[in-house]
Amino acid sequence: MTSPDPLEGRVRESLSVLVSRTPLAPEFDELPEPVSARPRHPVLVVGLATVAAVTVAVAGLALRESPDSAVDTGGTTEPSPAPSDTATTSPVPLLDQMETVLYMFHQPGESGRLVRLDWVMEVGSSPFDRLQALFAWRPPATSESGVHQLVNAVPERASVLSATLEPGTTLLTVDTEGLFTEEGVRQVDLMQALAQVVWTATQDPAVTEVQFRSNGVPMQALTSELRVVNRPVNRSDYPLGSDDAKNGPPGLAEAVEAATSAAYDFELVSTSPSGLADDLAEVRFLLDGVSVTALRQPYDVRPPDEALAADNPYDVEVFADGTELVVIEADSFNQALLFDADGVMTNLVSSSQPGGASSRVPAAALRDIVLRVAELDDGS
Amino acid sequence: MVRVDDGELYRKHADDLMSLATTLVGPSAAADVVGAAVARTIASQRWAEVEDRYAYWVRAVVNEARGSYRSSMRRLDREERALRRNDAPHSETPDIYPEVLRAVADLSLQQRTVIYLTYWRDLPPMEVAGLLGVSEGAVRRQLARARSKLRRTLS
Repeated sequence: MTSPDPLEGRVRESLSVLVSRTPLAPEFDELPEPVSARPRHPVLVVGLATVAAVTVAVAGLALRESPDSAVDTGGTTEPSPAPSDTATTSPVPLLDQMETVLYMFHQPGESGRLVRLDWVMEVGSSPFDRLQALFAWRPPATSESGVHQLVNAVPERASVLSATLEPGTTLLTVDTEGLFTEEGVRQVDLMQALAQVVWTATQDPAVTEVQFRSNGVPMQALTSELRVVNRPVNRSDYPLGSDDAKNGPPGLAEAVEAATSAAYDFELVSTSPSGLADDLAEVRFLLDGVSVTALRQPYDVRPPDEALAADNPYDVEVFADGTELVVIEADSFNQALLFDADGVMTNLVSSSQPGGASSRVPAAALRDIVLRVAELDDGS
Repeated sequence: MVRVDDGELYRKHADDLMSLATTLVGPSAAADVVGAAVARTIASQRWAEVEDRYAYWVRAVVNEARGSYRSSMRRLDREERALRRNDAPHSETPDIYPEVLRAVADLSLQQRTVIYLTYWRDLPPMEVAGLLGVSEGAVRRQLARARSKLRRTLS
């Protein structure tokens, strides 16, 4: 007969102390309304395109056109509630999420290139929902993924009031606030914002062109040549650039492509260099189960000093902004980026199945390697 | 098979979920965590397809706890210290509790979840794994790490 484990006894006792403080559960009919979360993490950036470089004057002006009758897109006449600032978490698997595409610029100004940003959001799929996500999106202050280089030309003060599909047409009327301003906004910035709206809205096959309103007042649009037009605009008004332009700035496409989704607890199982070439060590990732959302911020995961011990599972240490987080809570991750000490991405580890993926990295650099998990800050 | 009403299911498991949440984030945040987790799951489009709704709620509570985990740990520590002060004259709590409580509080959320399900709910690793949607091996590893950490902390 084995004697009872004293540790276990103490743990049970401490749990009883903790649990004894359990308050009453809320009544079922008093449960809160679910919070609608703001768009979550960018998953993937695919294409790159340009909008022509330009100069000159004059912003969009009010038109005399009268409002037509309109129908909702996806039943949305009124704006949905503003995205919550609450960092929300979702149970497994990610709930009610869908991928959409938002269009951003890789840098401000004339040389800005339109960038496709695949985005996972927790709202609906109507053009209005997409535009809301577009208007709300802000790049993180910094990121190793390259996403921080993206620019949302839609000003922060702007909001989308409604997006309504004209009956029997593919024309979407987008009513905004704060997007068209009398002064203080460079024309190129407005043009870029309109380009983003048009490209984002017209990913819905039911929408081919867009007309703008500002607080209900019909507005002229600006094309990529900064021509003021008194008609709906479509993607051809903001054409993609050359193949060179599609390639984008060096490193951005792959970096952003690698910036992916939620990343959670994972194990750095083995860093044993045995069996490998002298200059290589193997970093193996095991994925545990379920997909959940963890901290909404970029964080780094660094193996402790014992990392070089062979075949010895251990906890990884988690850092954010240079501060160690004791906890990394995660059950799985989709992809992790492997960076060297200089922040250069050396590999992308990706797997969706338990069993993980392997990556060979320079053994000499192993202690300095930081695993950057690309749960990107959403700018909040 | 008739699907039990959500309200009925909730009432059946609410206390369990609350004690889990209390263990994870402390008593003051537990109701918020459980409320948000349950409300969110029920509102989800996939909810109708979830077979083991209780397990889903357990995971939802753990997930919901993540957001407030770090701040809750500090709060929990304060609450525990305050309670110990208040209870001190009448406390039957042996002296070992403060350090054990602190040691448990130092565990990661997942370790703590596993510890709770294993030692409080007396569930074997296979059932813990089923509830959390992870492999049994993962549960055993978390448990081993948690025990190792506790042993180190308490030694």
